[in-house]
Amino acid sequence: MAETKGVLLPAYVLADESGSMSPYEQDLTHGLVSLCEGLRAEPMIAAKLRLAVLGFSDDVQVRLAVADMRRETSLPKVEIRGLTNYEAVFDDLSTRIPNDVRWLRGEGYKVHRPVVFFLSDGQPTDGGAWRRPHRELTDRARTPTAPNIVACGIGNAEASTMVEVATQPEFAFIAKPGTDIGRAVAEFFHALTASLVASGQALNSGAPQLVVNRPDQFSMAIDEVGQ
Amino acid sequence: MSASRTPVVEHGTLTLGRLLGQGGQGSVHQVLNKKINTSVNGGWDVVYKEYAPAVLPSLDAAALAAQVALTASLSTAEGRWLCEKTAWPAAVVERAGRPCGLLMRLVPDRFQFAYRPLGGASRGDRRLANLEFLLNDDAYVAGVGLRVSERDRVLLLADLAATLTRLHRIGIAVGDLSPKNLLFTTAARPECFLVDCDAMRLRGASALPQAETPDWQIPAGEEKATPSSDSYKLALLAVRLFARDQTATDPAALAALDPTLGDLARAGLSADPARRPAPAAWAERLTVVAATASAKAARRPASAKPAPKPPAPPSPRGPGSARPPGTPAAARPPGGPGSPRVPGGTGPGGSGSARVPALRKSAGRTVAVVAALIAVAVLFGLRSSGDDGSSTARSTTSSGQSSTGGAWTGGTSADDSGGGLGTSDGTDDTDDDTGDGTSAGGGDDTTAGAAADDSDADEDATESPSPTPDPVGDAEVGSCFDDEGTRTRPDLVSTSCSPGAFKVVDIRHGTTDLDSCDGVDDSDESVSSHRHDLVLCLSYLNPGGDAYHAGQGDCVYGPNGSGTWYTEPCETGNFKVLAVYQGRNKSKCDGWPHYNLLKPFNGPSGAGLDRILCLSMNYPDAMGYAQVRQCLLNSGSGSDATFTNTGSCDSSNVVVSGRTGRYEAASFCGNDGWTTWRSREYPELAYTVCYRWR
Repeated sequence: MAETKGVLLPAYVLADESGSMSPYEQDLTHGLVSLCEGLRAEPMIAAKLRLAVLGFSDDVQVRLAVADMRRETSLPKVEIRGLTNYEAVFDDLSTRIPNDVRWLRGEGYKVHRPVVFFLSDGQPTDGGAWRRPHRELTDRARTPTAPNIVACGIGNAEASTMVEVATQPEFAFIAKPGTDIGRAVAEFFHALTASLVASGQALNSGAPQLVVNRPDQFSMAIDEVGQ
Repeated sequence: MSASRTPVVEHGTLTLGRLLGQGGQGSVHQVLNKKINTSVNGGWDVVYKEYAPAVLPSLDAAALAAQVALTASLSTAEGRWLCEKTAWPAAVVERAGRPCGLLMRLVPDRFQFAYRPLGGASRGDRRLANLEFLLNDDAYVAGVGLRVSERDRVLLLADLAATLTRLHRIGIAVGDLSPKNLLFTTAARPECFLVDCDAMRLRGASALPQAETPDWQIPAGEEKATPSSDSYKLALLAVRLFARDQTATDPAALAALDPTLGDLARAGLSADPARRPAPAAWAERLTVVAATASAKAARRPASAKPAPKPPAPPSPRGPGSARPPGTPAAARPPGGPGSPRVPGGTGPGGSGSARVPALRKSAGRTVAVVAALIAVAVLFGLRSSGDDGSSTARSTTSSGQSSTGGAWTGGTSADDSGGGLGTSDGTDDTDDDTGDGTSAGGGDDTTAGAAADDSDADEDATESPSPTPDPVGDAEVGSCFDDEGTRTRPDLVSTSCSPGAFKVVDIRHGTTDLDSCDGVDDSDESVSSHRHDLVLCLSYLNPGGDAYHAGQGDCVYGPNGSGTWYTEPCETGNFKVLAVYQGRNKSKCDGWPHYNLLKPFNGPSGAGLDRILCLSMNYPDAMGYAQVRQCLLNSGSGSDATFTNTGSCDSSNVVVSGRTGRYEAASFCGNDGWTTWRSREYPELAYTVCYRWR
């Protein structure tokens, strides 16, 4: 019992469950399934990850609580409902992430900086209210366990918003104009799985780093914004 | 290719197919227009590994060429062996005269498995059976669709040890020996297959700088890729394969299987390379242990269907809380996060040590049986001494296959007259005749005749088998039988599935191999019918409760003293199974950490299936087993306070200052803080633990 149990990467997938996603509910569900199965079939990676899936709309609902995919016996399911409230997301994460990290540490693990994969198909319906909790969440002075946020926009989501949500410009992606949204959702999860697998390997190595793969059919949002 | 012994292939001549894999070193593609070893069954499919551009500058082309040239320099047998056990580089691939990759054989089919996805209904893809799948708890292993017994694990490791021995003899050190580079099969014969061979070191030369997989590193400063670094990683793999954990370094689980293996692991993990046992020493011991290791596969998970998430924290069974009634035996889920039983082979001799005492051909016996209506053979009991002559003879006959099956004549169907008749000796023929209860008509006579030559004749039924239902032929999974026979001679009579009966948990068709029940959950006894060409796998419905079939890691509960014990989800107040041993030797539990209760079970009478469970109380938190001076992390307050063992004092905030087995012994702690707990049913396991803030 004396040894620490290793270092984990907590990963949060924030899936947009707002009404406008309704035609793509299947794609979302399939994407989540392929993510979960992809990790479950990589036990050396899964052992180093804790995956949470959160559906957001008017509020945030837990679809999969910080899980070792090797131990899960069921798959997360989304539920399409309501608006696109970004404020609810960052409020929720501001308490959730520090709590989860504390809990994991209590279990004897060390914890890498958490990573959030944020997928939205629309502009926030709460105006700019989300910026305050977002700032709080990502300020490493205020939130020592502040996560890296990777933001992917599809549908009506705007590149500039994704750049604002992401914690680094190169972590913001936007689906190329005209891309089928269902396909973009699938690509998002595909890249997410690959990023987690690659990060799982890299974080474990001598030169730990987060690896973020650009999803196919997405471009770097910063290029669209033309900063 | 004749001038140089290094086969070289020009990249432009390859027709590439699917991308099979991608990693830091490069990518692997199917090759559609080439095969190797074409003299064998049309040859082996090959794949092309292309090095990533970043890797090429560090590629030692001469070392790679030497690897490719190796097989031709070995004897035919050695070369063939190398290509059977490894994906050894077969050709260098060049682009414009410079090496860019290599060809190697496609992994043989048997090193793949049908991955079972969580979704349930849908069948999953076939995936490489990477050893990493086995370094996880049994619920996971079974959940992804693998059936792996303790014996499979032992044999896999034995095969790997033998493989390493031979590689070392050839001059190859594996170097990055890790679960990623090892494939396995348990199908016909458990064995392993090594991939990423271009990363191996041949006679001191490496084609690429020696890299190591995280968590699979040799002690810092030691030379990489040597026989003794391989020995270190073999020991690490042995520890983890039995700990079912990817990072364990504690050989406890291995030592529980066999103390000698535990000793090998401890020496193998020594920082001093000279102290590490060579793979040959492992192979030798593992082969011995395999003879007695459990052949029962780890259990399937509770359900392949998406199951509702378990409720978050189970409500603690604190002081005074009543125990909810246990799950009835029949409703017990077939799996759960159980691990397979620890076979009890702790004695160096290992005799009588397998947890599943039946079904061992070497140790048991096969008996063709005269029963009321059926021909059955059974392997029963582990007691290797005291075999009577007739059983031995029967065992021989039976293993000759089919002799029992075709022997009766009574005018039954044509397929009964199949081969084997001629090979049986008269005695057994007669025996078998009798066995065929369904052959209506003159069955009686034959039965009697058979009985006469058998020492257990009085056990044989004599009632007329006329148009009676045939219990074995009609048996379904879930049917139950009473066994009214003796230890060596089953006599199955249909009955209701009540305690004391044997329940059919699986039916293996198209075989009479009694070992075919190996790996079937909860199977205690196997009975074969040559007539029906099937084996019934039977599970004993122990009147003492279904905890009889609990495995290591399961949780169980039952009353203090006599009463029924059930397997149930783990929660505060019930017991975790630390180990299961065959027999009644109570001292076997003594060495287990956190052991505090022993639960014995009687098996079916005379079958040698008694067993004991070594149990550990599931206390509410880490205080339950905390020792004085141990550091713990206190979180929450008041009745919500919990204590966690973080493994280090730096991350803890309390230190244990005292401990007593009494409940609510506040005064014992003086001015220190204290926490207390008891089980109403097991007051002797109560505690009060005192602590101070640090």
